[in-house]
Amino acid sequence: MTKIFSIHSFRGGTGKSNITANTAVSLAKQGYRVGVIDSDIQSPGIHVIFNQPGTIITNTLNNYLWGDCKIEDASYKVYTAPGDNDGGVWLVPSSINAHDIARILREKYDAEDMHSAFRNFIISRSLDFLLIDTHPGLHEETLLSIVISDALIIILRPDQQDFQGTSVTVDVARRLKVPNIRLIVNKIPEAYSLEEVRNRVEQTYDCEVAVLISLSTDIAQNASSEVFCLQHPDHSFSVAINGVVTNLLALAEAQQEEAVPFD
Amino acid sequence: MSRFWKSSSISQAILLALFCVSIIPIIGVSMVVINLSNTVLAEQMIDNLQTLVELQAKDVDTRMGQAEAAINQIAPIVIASLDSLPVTSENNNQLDQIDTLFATVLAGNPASQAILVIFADGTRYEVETGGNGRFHADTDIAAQTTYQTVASINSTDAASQWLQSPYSTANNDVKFTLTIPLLSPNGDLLAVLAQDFDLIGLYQFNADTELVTHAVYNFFTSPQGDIIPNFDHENDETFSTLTPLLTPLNIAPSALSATDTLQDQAGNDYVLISIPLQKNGWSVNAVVLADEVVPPSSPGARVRILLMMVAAVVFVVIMAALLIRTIHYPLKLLLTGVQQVSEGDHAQQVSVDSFQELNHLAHAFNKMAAKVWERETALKASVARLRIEIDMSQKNQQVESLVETDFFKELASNAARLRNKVKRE
Repeated sequence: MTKIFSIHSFRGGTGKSNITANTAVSLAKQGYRVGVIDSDIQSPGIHVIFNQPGTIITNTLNNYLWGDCKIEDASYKVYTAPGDNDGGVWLVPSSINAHDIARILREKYDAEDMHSAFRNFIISRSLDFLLIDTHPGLHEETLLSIVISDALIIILRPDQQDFQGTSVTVDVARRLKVPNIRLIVNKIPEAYSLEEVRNRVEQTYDCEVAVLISLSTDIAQNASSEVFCLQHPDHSFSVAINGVVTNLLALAEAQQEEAVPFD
Repeated sequence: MSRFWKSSSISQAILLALFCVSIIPIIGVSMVVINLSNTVLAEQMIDNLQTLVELQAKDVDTRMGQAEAAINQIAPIVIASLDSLPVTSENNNQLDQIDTLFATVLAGNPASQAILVIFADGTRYEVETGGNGRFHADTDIAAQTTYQTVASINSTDAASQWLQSPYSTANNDVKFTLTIPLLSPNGDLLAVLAQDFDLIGLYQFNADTELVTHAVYNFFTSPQGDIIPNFDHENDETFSTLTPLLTPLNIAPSALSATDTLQDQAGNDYVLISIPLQKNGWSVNAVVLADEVVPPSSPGARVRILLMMVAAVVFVVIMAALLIRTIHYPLKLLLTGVQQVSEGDHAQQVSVDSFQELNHLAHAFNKMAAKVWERETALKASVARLRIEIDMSQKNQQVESLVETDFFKELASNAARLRNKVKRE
């Protein structure tokens, strides 16, 4: 059964989209069919990281929500795993057109439509995993993604504002009975002991830290121009992403063993 | 290789460079100095020899002058005494008178050994030191070793031979005879006075020219090339080889100038020094093997070279040691400090007393290391300061503001259903 992970952060700039894109590609390299949906309708951006020069985006999530197209028409294959396997990444982007953004915010959309987008995307592309790149902060749109997720992955920085916001998000997610919550602490300065950070965060939120990622000038210089782990597979960031993948796969396997009954 | 040799590569290179740069020119200079010194030595030896030969020639001239003066002093006395001829052995009064007068002259002329009076009829009367006169027959005179045989005398001969040539005696003494004709007022030859003088050889060599003493052959040569060896030369056989050098050349030795070079049939080179006598055209000569004038390597020169090379090596070693101390050692200290900083350790302060640039570098390094350590320490300390502070009341307020909405309540109540619905195929 397809596993749905929402990638969320209380504030912007935590590296959420970057981690989402790299995690998706790393999963696909292991032969999985991974879907990424940019549900950050207000400030879409993950499509930039996938950087497909020859791909012309004609339909987006916006078009689907307006009923202009099918979800598969708004999904684009942005990565094909090498070798003889079925692995790949499909992306459903949101429109970067200011007019489209204004329209969708003004007209809003039905929760059912967003959920059907997720469902149809999963079905049409036979996805093993769906990663939802959410808009920062706790909004109705975000909650719609969180509520249907098998796991909520919260990205935070060792920053007091992030700490405060994450505590709210964790509390809310627990109230929505999200099956699993995982924390990823990103952009950790070199001076901090990673173990020290893990212990303090897990102690504070009573929540497992999936992985700790050190602050890297290489990532900063990459500036979201490409999927970093494809070009630098041995970099510490890529190693950390592999740790995320391992954690998610373990989580998926654990969930598989305790099958969630259908209504 | 040990770290020592790796870190000493600059020092090794400096040492090698200094050695190569220094030794080669020093060797070259040494060789030039040796050659120059040998040349100077040779020239000095020849100059010394020439001086000595000149002194001897001057001495011979002086002696000839003294003998000439002595005979001239005697001549009027003898002439005055020969108022009746011939003088015979029976004419004792005349002979006594001559004896007395000659004794007076001889006493005032200590170089003279005897005076020979040769009368026109051939009678010879010798007056020895002490005033004892005696008549000699021709055969007796010929047997005398003290006098060169005076050739037959006539008025013209006597006039031209009044300065006789040097000659060697049987025991290798060299003498020469001065003769002077005694003429009557009419120009008739009355007698010939003859006096022998010893010739002293070359002066004792001083220490500087001692090297050439052994090989110097001293001799007199006549204007016609007749050779009379002087005493005090060591090797007669060797000297006999020199004689053919001159006669086949058909050159009068007196025509030879000082420091001419001659070569014998065996190819040996000789340096010849020839000084003509002023009085009679004879020459005083000295000849020496060229090899002995320029010794291949005098002990003094070898010692000088060795000392120079030792001095050069010592100089190079001292310079290298100084450079190692002033450059390599400070750099080694700085390198150790850099390694400590790179490994995150607290670097020791580097104390350097060397060239200005190295002192500045050490000072800058110490400042940098201190700042790095300070920063590292501060950063490490900041780990302990990671504190997560949650404003619980604010959090609760934010949560409540969300969860109390109808949207949230409906969402929460339908969460499970929605979750399943999405995944239902």
